[in-house]
Amino acid sequence: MEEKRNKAAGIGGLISAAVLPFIIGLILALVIGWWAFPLVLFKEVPQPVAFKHSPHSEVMECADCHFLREDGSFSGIPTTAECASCHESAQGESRAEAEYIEKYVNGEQEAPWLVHQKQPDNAFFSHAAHSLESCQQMGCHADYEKAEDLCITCHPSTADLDKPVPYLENRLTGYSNSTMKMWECERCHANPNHLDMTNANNACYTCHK
Amino acid sequence: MASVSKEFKVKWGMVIDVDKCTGCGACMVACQAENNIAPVTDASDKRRSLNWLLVYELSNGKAYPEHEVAYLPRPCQQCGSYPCASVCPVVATDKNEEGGIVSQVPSRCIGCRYCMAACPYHARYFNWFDPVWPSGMDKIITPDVSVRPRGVVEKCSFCHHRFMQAKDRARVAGKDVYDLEDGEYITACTETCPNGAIAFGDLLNEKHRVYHLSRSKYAFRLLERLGTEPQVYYLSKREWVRRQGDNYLQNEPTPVKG
Amino acid sequence: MDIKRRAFIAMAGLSAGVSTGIVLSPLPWKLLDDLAIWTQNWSWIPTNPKGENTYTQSTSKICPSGCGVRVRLLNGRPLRALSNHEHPLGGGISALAAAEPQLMHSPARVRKPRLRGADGKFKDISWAEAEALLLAKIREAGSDVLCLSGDENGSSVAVLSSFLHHLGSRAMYLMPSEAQCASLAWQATCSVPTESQPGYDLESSDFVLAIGANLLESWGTFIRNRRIFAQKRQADENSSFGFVYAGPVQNQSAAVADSWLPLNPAAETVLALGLANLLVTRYGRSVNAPGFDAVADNLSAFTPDLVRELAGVQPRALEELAEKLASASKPLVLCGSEFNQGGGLAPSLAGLLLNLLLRAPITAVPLHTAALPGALSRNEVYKNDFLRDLAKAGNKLTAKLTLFYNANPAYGLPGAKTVAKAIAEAPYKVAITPFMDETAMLCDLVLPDAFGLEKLDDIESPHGCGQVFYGLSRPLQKPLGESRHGLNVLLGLGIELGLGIGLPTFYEDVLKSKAAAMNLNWRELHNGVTFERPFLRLDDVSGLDLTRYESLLFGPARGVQAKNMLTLAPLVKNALGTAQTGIPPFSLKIVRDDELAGQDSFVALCGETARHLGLAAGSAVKVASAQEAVFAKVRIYEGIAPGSVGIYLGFGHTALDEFSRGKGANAFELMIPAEEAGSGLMVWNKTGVTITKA
Repeated sequence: MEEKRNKAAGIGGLISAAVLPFIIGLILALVIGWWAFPLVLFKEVPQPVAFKHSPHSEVMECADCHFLREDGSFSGIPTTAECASCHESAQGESRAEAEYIEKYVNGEQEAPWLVHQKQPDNAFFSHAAHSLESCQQMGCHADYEKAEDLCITCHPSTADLDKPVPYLENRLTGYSNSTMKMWECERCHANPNHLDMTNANNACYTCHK
Repeated sequence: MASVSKEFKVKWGMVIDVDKCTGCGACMVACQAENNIAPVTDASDKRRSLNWLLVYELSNGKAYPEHEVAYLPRPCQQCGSYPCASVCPVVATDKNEEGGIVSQVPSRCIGCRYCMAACPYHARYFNWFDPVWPSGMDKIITPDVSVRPRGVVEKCSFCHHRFMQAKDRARVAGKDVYDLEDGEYITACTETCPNGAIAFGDLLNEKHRVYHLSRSKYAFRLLERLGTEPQVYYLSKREWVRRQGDNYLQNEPTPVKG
Repeated sequence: MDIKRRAFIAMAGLSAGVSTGIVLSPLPWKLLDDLAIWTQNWSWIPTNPKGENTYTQSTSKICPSGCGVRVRLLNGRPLRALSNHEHPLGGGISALAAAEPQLMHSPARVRKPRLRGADGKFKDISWAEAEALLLAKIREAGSDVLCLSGDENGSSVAVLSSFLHHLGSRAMYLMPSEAQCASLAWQATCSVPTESQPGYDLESSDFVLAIGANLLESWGTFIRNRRIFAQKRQADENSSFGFVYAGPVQNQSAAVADSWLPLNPAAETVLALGLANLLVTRYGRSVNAPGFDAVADNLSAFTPDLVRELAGVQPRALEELAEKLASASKPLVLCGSEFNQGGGLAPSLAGLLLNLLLRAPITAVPLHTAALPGALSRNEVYKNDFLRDLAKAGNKLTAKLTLFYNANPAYGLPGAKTVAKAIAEAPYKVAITPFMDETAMLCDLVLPDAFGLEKLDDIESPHGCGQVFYGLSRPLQKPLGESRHGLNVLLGLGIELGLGIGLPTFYEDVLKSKAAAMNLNWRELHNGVTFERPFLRLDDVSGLDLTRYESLLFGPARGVQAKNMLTLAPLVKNALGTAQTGIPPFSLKIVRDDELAGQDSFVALCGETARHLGLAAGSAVKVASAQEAVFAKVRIYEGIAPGSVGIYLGFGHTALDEFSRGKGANAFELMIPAEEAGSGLMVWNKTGVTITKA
């Protein structure tokens, strides 16, 4: 009996002695894994210019700067020359604009914008294939009226923002934390029944170069 | 050997007229420039240098003055029944896209080189070294094809990026991407050849020149009897050239196309 | 240390908790994934640029064919040279022109003006210093200035000769070429129009016989030639277009010709005259021009038997060929040296004679010279033979100042070592060059020239074209480093020197006024539009006169060949670049391992010759001419006549970059220029060599 009780107390003691440290360890690790690790992994990198989308979207369409070229490629971020077509001289009184004109327009160089959705060299993303026109032609997303409705499925809407979205760079990979990964592409591409259409081919060469 | 050939609605193919090729090498220059293949200072070491497209010199084997010479450019044959992709342990190479081009994704490749051993055409090359462009020359790297580091296998892709670009052009113009017109998508070598020796298009589309050329009685494919079903055809009116397309026994007649 | 049981259990519990927590957090999975991504983006692997693609047109100044290019620009910067099917001289694109954007960034480019110091080493100097120095040297030299240019198709000839004229010198030279021989032969044949060159209307011909002339690789406007060839062969599967190549080597043209007629090296003239003889005697052809009777008399000596003896062509083959020519409705004969130089006047004259007998589609292409005071046309400059004058001066360059404009004579002239020695010993020499080539290495002052798509320049009717052609090579990129347009530098110096009268400030002005004189729209030209204008058929040319043929053609026709010697048969590959550019980096992969192995280039022999010499494939040999010896390996190639030694031009550079330097032997070193009887022009297409085991 004595032995038994001791044993039981031993096991119970073992558990009671181990459980608390286990829970402490678990919580600690979860905190490190979920909270501290991302803090260490990502660093915030400022954009070269404190660009505000909101004043622009008041007077312009998105497509004035971000458009599909005739050859089917996407313009992405406008070049300095394109920006300079308005910002040859200051349009407002902001310091950011003055600095931009001084450094990039007058200095005739491209601003090293950080692209949240920058894809690796081996990926070929066709904006043309994912454009509203293409989608409507194929019968999917017929409910979308404006291109912007479609754009924001991948790019967070920035039109009304007063400051750049913080750019969090992964210290290991160099990509932003919002860069789409392949599994995200595959949500549609690996699913041939995606919205009842089959053109979302998942062949390697559909996206890789 | 897998004997079932993978079929597609669109089959991009090449027809190379050996009787028009002078072996000038312009196609190889265009290929390197287009596909970001780095130059090497000692390219005479053929075991270590890398080409997607290689021009071979063929000889009829006879002595002067009966000698004849021919040149045969060899891109990836984009086999219908692909010996390479079937041995890839990591699916870095596959043939699954509409158009039937054998894909090669270098970032996925682990460099085991099984595919190189499997390819009967020596169309695959291994990056023994990191690519190095002399200082300043890296400015002419194109946006089209990702640069491959050492340790991976690469090969001709039929300038697949041009297919992507052609599709994008078609999309913007509101056209069907699977019914491109003849010439809307051609490879860099095809575009370059001053002799028009290379034709490129959809082998299954009657409106494309290659459809008819590939059905010529002078058409042949390399090592046809292996059953690899290449999407690259060659033309020659010279029988000795056609005979070199496969390993015929001395007394074996060259098969004649119907 | 004493660990209590409870503490151990607590530790185990903690570890288990940490492990579980870590596994349940994204840390390990994210880290693994990111590590994998990290290995895909090594910092030393270049990345793809991004941006907007645009396309524009230009004409290649660096490819001898003057072929058209469609330039692909990325964000306004030239990235690729593509083929241009709208261009009169375009079609596909040559291996050299396709490498143009890459060559613009070649490590061999000169980036700053360089001055040779007292210790023989170069140091970089500023443009101000360089210009001041050159100015002083020009003043010092007075009229004793010589200029050798490597650009025969552009207005640089006019600018340079006008510059010399203002200094009081007429010593303007061009690097020797096939164009020079063809042009001088043309001038010896007809007198009207005065400033013109022969044009070859390949488009309308239905049978082409190329004797020597490597029509599809290096002769004249070869990219245009190839486009026409492609079109004619494309027409239908059993095209009626005929093409025969006759030459010592089964080269690129022979590979796709209907047939190859093997020929002894430098026997082009003999074959052409043998054919002419048959056309006159058997087919009753004649030319309605003074001097033809004497020509016909002389022709009668070129019987099929003589042709067999001198050219190695069997009488039956000769007769068949004459039959083909006579029965074709628009035959055309292209006759010249198989390596585009050094053949002298005779092959060109013999070819012209054949074409006259055949009433071939030959045209007269008038030349336009920029209206600058004292400017010479290229036809006039062709009369100055650099090699002849060098030989006359005892292989010395005596001018107080020698100016090399885009020319590399120290590598690319026959007897290269003799030429290099003359340059090294010349009193003062200046190179205006984009590349640090062999000649620049010997100069006292090297001025970095803009190159390719950095440089505004013009191309007028390159040799071989059928009509008047005019196009611009357009500046699409800022010159590399501190390089400048060499001609603008000279024009600037001209003003400093007070030569200003009639000399414009900028080369662009020269081209603008030339375009205006040709009634061309400058704005269109500047957008890459090129012009082609038809001109006179030979039938309409007046002043045809064959009286000089007796001395110019029949004197040197038979040639002299040393007995018991092998003859060099130089081979040309456009991909190997020009003397100026060296081997473009891309091209090294085109070179097969039986053409270059490590540092050894190959000489090609047919099996019979090799057996006779006791050599096998891969044997190391010494190839010696009376001038010089080089080392090479043996390649057995049955597409070469017995007794001939095939050797590629383009190897054996000692300067430029690591893609050109130290690769094989320079065939130019073996060649010995000798005077052609009659014309007095230097020829070097009959180099006798011996081959011994090394």
